[in-house]
Amino acid sequence: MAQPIISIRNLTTAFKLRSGWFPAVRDVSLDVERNETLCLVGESGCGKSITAMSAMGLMRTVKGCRVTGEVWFEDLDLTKLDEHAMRTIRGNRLAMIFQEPMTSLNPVLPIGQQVGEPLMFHRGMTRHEADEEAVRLLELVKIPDARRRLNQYPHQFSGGMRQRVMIAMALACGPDVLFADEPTTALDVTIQSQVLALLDEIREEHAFALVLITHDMGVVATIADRVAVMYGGEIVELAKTSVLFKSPRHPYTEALLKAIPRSDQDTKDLCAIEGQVPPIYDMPPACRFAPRCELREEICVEEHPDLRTRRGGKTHLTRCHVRNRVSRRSAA
Amino acid sequence: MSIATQTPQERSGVRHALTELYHVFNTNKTSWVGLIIFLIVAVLALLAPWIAPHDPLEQNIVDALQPPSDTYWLGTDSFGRDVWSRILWGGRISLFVSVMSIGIAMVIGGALGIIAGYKGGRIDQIIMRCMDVLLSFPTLVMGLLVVAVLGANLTNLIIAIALTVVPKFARIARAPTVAVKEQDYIEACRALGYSDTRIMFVHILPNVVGEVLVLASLWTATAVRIEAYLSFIGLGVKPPTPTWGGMIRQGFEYILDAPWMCIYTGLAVLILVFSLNLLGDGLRDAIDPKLRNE
Amino acid sequence: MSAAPILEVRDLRKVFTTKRGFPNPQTVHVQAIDGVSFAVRPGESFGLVGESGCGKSTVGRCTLQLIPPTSGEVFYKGQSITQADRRDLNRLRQEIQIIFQDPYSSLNPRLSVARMLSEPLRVHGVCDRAEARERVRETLNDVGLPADAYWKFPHEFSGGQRQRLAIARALILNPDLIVADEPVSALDVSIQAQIILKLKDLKASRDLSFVFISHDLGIVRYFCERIAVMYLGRLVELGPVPDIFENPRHPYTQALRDSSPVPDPAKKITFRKLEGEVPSPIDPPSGCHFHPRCPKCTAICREQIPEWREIAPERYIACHHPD
Repeated sequence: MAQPIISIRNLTTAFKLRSGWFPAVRDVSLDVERNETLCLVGESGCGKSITAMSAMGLMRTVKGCRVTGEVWFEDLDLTKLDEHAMRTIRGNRLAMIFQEPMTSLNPVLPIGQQVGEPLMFHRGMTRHEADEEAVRLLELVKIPDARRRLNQYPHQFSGGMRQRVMIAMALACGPDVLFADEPTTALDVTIQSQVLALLDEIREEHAFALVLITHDMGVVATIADRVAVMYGGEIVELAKTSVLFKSPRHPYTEALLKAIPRSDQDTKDLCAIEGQVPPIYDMPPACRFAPRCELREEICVEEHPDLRTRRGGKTHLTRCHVRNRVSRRSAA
Repeated sequence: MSIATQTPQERSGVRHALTELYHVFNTNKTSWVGLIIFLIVAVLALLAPWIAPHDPLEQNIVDALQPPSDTYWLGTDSFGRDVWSRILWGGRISLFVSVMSIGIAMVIGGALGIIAGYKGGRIDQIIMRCMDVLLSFPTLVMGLLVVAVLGANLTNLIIAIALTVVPKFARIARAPTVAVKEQDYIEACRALGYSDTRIMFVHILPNVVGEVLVLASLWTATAVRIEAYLSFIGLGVKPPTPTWGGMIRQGFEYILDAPWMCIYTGLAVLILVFSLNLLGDGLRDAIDPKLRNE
Repeated sequence: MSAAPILEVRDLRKVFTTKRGFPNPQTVHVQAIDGVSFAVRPGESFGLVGESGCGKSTVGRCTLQLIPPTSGEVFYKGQSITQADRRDLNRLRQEIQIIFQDPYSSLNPRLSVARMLSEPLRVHGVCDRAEARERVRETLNDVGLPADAYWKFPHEFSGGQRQRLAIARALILNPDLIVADEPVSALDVSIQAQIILKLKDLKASRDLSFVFISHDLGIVRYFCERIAVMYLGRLVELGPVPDIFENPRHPYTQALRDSSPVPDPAKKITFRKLEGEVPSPIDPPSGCHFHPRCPKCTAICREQIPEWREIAPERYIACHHPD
């Protein structure tokens, strides 16, 4: 296994509510390699966005929020850096794009200035150099007629174009890791496939690590090399994409895949997961998924399961008492 | 949640409204405080004929400008009238004028605002431009106009105050109406075949009523002041009938020699305003069902 | 066509007029719907798919007369809705209902469930108080909500439960036709499946017809029998679901199908290059609206609006060069 470019160790992000501290993200450990696309997938409230924001150091200034754990980037622990040092890394070596392309661009500044700004800030370029570089970046994300569009304002761009601008801004300083938080959720499918294709292509070309956060299993299947499925603030399954879709091991992953009606074939029986995601202040103490799980046993409500591999396996991790035990037996 | 066991639905109109109101108050303690203070003020004013130690109109020049004493608890004014008794009697008139005028303004202004906001287009334009016209008259000019046309008396005083305040209510009611009518649930109401009147006054009104009530509690306080202006220039209640506004005006002239005239009357106004503000803020919080359970 | 349609939309058009620009505002016409015709059969789920801004929601609202169409007619069981007087419209509104996308803005936060659901019965004088209560409880049970939901307020429910409430409200008058405008798009995947299954179940048990508006092809394929694809205010293709999905003949339908991601890495979407953006409905392209993005575009596509025609039994298309 190659050296990971970013390594998240036991990351826990807790929020202070009226009755105490509650973790929105609990004990998340992830290694992301250069030149790989890792998808964080899960339903709303599973902690996937918070994980990325915490890794970027964006949560520590939030009031009533506590981040513990380590985030290793090269040989730096980002959680130990002060805000000033963090700023030289964030937007430069680590970049992030958000879901809402309508609100993440400033409507009163021309596009060229917004794309060029990080270059002037992090790379000390002059206005003119930054403009030239901005044109190159806009061309990179396939915005036609880039030079002319430099002086246009965000409202003159469509949603898909704005998301491309966001990608261009994120790429401006040649990041090593790009976090993309639901980058295509607000877009139409035909535009979504364009943007995904673009991300895939650029990632290949520039060899950075892409951490893509999404709720859409279809997007995962399309673009991911590896997948981390999150539920209730924890990673419940981590595997290669092909493995995960072919033989999901955690009951949640399995149920989730059965709950998606497919457009490419007839879905004979759609299976819903009964119940709902528990709120952060009312998490089941042991296995988070136990109350909705069809395989639930006594141990599931008593003991918190670990995220671990089957015996012999290396890359497919699951957080499930039942499934991990069954496999141990069959291996023995 | 207690509301669940109370089964509000099964009670008919008035009882339903009362249970609702009870819950509104129960969830927010400050509104109870406000309500209790307000009720005390109101009861004292109502009981003035029985509890006032002196006749509020009885002049006793010998005792003029007496500081508070055993006989005159809050002192006397420049005509030797007992301030405490005058505050009690004055409270009757001031409360009646302010509550009536604001009540009328609230109902009319609120309704106009909701209609303007919901109907939009030309109706909105007409109503709101009329409100702008009303708003452009200073209170005094409006008072003069009303009195010149209708004559000076208590009813016309109430009308004059109501007229100047109506546009404020129309505006405050219109803004949330415009926001709420875009919501899908209003469209769902139309899909269910509800009439416009029902939609406006059953479905939109509860979203508006909180802000209107808060404004009402604040303007009731201001109405006491407006009444004072108008009474002072002879457009309202004529002396010697005591009103709080009139008394403060009169006390102003003696503020250095006999501060109790102003201070105690002012204190009465302050207590009333304070209670109304507590009530208003409490109502606003309590009316929002999202805050009800906590 | 075998049975008489329950809903028929004939040449529906809707133009929105707004003012734009400063300091000299100019009147801008947006052709949101440009001649849409289709029919929904009794007991059928009719899917209306398309990307944002294609006018599919406007069609839904026009069929209920929530927005008056500019021209065209809508017939419900043979009776014109567009020309109905107030009384007829009120009766029709008991039979056609709507479910919205956002379960948060579609429920009045100040009404308890009991009031929200019993009010329609009272307004239309359907039944007395005791019977209304019974019916509300029945409906809550039908949509899969616990009995204690009766006295609660919307904010006490989760997103999925709120959508169930919205469904209960649509069902309370016992309608025959429901316009469902993206009813599951705002929900999480696991909840989506719950709601879709519930709708399917209700459709069978109550003999409902649906106009099902969605952008999600997977859900439409699962839920609908026939489907119409919309692009920039016009229908481009219409036909039975398996047919359209297996053998789409309009280039736009093909592109839409091929760019919908599928949860199967073996079938990676082909990143089929559909170049360009969806044009603005304020200034739509000439001829066939799709021509600037169409791989098969020729001169005639730029000039002539393709005719809406039946190219095979049950299959309608508007394209000069269908596959």
